[in-house]
Amino acid sequence: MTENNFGRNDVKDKDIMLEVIGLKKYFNVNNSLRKSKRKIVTAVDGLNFFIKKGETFGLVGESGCGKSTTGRTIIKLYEPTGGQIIFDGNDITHLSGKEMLPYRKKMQMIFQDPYASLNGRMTVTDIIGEGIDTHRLYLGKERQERIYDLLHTVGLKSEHANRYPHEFSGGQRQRIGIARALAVEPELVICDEPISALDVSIQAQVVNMLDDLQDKMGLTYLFIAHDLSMVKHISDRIGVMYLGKMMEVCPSDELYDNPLHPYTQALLSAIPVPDPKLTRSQKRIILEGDVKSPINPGEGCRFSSRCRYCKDICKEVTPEIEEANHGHYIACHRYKEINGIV
Amino acid sequence: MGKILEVNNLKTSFFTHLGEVQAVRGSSFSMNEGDILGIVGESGSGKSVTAMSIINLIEDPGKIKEGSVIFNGKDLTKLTESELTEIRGSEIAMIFQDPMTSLNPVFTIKNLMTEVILRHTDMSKKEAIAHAIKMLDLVGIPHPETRINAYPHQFSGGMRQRVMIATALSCDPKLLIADEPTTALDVTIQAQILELLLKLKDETNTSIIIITHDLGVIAEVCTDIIVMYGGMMMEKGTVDEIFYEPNHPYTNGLHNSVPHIVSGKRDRLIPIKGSPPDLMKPPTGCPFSPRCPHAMQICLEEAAPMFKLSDTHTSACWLLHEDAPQVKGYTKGGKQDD
Repeated sequence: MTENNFGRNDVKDKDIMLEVIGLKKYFNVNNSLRKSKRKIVTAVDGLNFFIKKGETFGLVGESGCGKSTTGRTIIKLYEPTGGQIIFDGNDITHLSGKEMLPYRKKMQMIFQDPYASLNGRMTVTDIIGEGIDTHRLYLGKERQERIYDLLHTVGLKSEHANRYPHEFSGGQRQRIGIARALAVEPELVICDEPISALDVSIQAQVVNMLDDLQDKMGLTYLFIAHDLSMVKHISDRIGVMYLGKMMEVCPSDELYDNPLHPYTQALLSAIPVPDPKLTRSQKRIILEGDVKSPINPGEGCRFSSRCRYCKDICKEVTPEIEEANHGHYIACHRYKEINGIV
Repeated sequence: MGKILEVNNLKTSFFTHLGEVQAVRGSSFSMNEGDILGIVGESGSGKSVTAMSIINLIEDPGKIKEGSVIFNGKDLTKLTESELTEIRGSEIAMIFQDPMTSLNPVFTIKNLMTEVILRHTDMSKKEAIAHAIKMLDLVGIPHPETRINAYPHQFSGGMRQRVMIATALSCDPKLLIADEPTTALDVTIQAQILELLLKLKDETNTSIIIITHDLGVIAEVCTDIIVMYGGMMMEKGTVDEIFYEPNHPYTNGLHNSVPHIVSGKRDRLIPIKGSPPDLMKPPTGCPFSPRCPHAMQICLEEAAPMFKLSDTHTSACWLLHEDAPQVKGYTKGGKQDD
C-alpha cells in the first residue's frame, strides 16, 4: 500500500466502497515500429483515492485531465495500465469479463450525452430491461413491473415504456439513462458529466433527483464534472485533477473556503459567478496558456508550465501528495509558502 | 452615445416539412453604442436565431416573417444579399460557439484572415498580412509572424477562439455578435477569452451582443440583459436589475436552479418543473405558463405585454398588471409599455 493514501488508515475497511491505488491508464497514439517514435498519452498517471460507502466523491478538472478516463477505467471499460482497483474489499483490476459480471451489477455508469448513450433502435423497456435480463433479476410480469417502478422513480410515466429514445427531450433521456443504471440495483454509480449536456432548469431537476435517490437507496456516487459549482453542490469530498494527476483532495466546503493548490485557486477564481456585484469586487486569477499536452509529459509538476509560483524544483521533481490539514491533501512543493502556512 | 441597433417586433420562423417552427415570436430591443448586451435563455429559446436574424444569416427553410432591424439608420431586413455581404464582416462581425468547426480546416490562418480584410478594405495583400499579424498579437497569440502560417488544427480550442475574435475584429466592426463564445471552452480558458473581450471592447469601443445560457458569464461581462424563453422576450433590464430585482417567474426560476458557490450553505436547488415548449405548437398564452408556479387563467390565454418597471427594466408577466393578485417579490402596477 502506498504511503500517501489520503487518510485511508483512518477509515475502516468495511466502510470503503471503492479504493483506487496508483491507477494508470496510458494510450498509445501511434504504434510506430521504431520505439523512439512511439508516443504515449498518460491520461491517468498514478491516481490514489477512495470513496466511502454512501458518500459522493466529486472529480473535477478541465478537458483532457483524465477524469472521464478514470471513471471508465474503474468500471473496466478500459483495461488499466497499472495500479489497483479495489471494490468493496475485492481486487478487480485483472478480472476477466466473466469474472467481472457480478461487479458490473454493483457498479453502474451514467453517461454525459443522453443523445449518444441510448440505442435509438431499442424501446425504453428494452434499454432498461437489458441489464435485468443479463443479470437474471426478474422475469415476465415482475420484470415489466420493475421497469414501470424504475420509470416512476426517475419521474417518467408507464406509458413511456414502449417509446423510442428520439421521442424524448434531453432531460427525459438522461432520466432513462439513470433508470437503466438503477435497474440492476447498483451500490456505486459513476456519473460522468451527467448534467453538462442539459439546460440549466433541467440540470437542477436531475441533480435533485440524484440527491433523492442517494438518500432512498443508499447509493455511493463518483461524480465527474467540470462544473465546479455543481460538483461542490453535490459532493462530500472533491478531488481536483490536472493532466492525469491528483492535485488536491479535501472535503468540499474546505476546497472552497481554503483552497491551497495554485491550480485549484485559479480554477475557483475562473468560475463566472452569477452575481454581478461580487464579480466586480473580485480580482480573478487568469491562468496563462493552455493545458500542456499529456503526451510524454516527463518529470516535474504537471501544472508547472502555467503556475505563477513555479520554481526550478517544480519543473524537475514531481511533487508527492501530502496532508496539509486534517483530511486535506495536496501535491505542491510550495503550498506552504504560497499560502503563508508555517 | 447614440443608438446603434434597434430591433422591432422581429419574427423568424422555420418552415420545415413537419410544420412551421416559430423560433422567434416578436423580439423588440435596442442597444446603444458601447453596450454589452447579453441574451440569455435555454436551448430553443430563440436567442441564437434572434442574433442570426440581425445580420440575416437565416437560411432556407427559415425566414424573417415580420419586423425590422435598424442598424445605423438602415433596415437590414430590406437589404439585398450583396448589400448585406458588405456589412457582414466589416460593420457587423460574428463569432460562433464552436471554434473547432467554424474555421475552414484547409486554409491557413493567413488565408482565412486576409480574405476578410481584403474583401472589406482597400489594403494591399502585404498590408493585409501585416494587419492580420497585428490583430493576432492583440488577441494574445504568441509569435504571430510564424503562427499565421499554421492551419486551424494546429491550434488549441482557446487559441482558435482567439483567431476567430481576431478575424472578427480585423475590419473594426461597430457591432460584434458572439454566439456562445466560451461554451466549448474550459473554465480557465473561458476566463481568458472573457477578459480579452472586455479589454478589446475598451480599446475599440465595439458594441457586443453575447448570447449564452450561462448566467455567470452574463453577470461577468454584460451591461444589459435580455431573458428569452420560448421565442419571446421575458424580461429586459440592466445587469443589476435582472440579478437583484428580477420581476419575472422565469428569471427567478433560472436564478434558483443554479447552485450558488458561496460556501457553507447547501440549499436544495429549486428546479423549474416540466420542460421547454415545443415551438412547433407554442402555447397560446405566455410560453412559460405551463411551468410557471404563479400561472393564472389569463396567462394561458394571452401572452403578457411588456410592463415597464423603470426606464431600462421591462418584464412580460401578468403579475405586474394592476388587477393581478399581489405576489411577494413582484412589483405591481408597472405602466404598460407600448
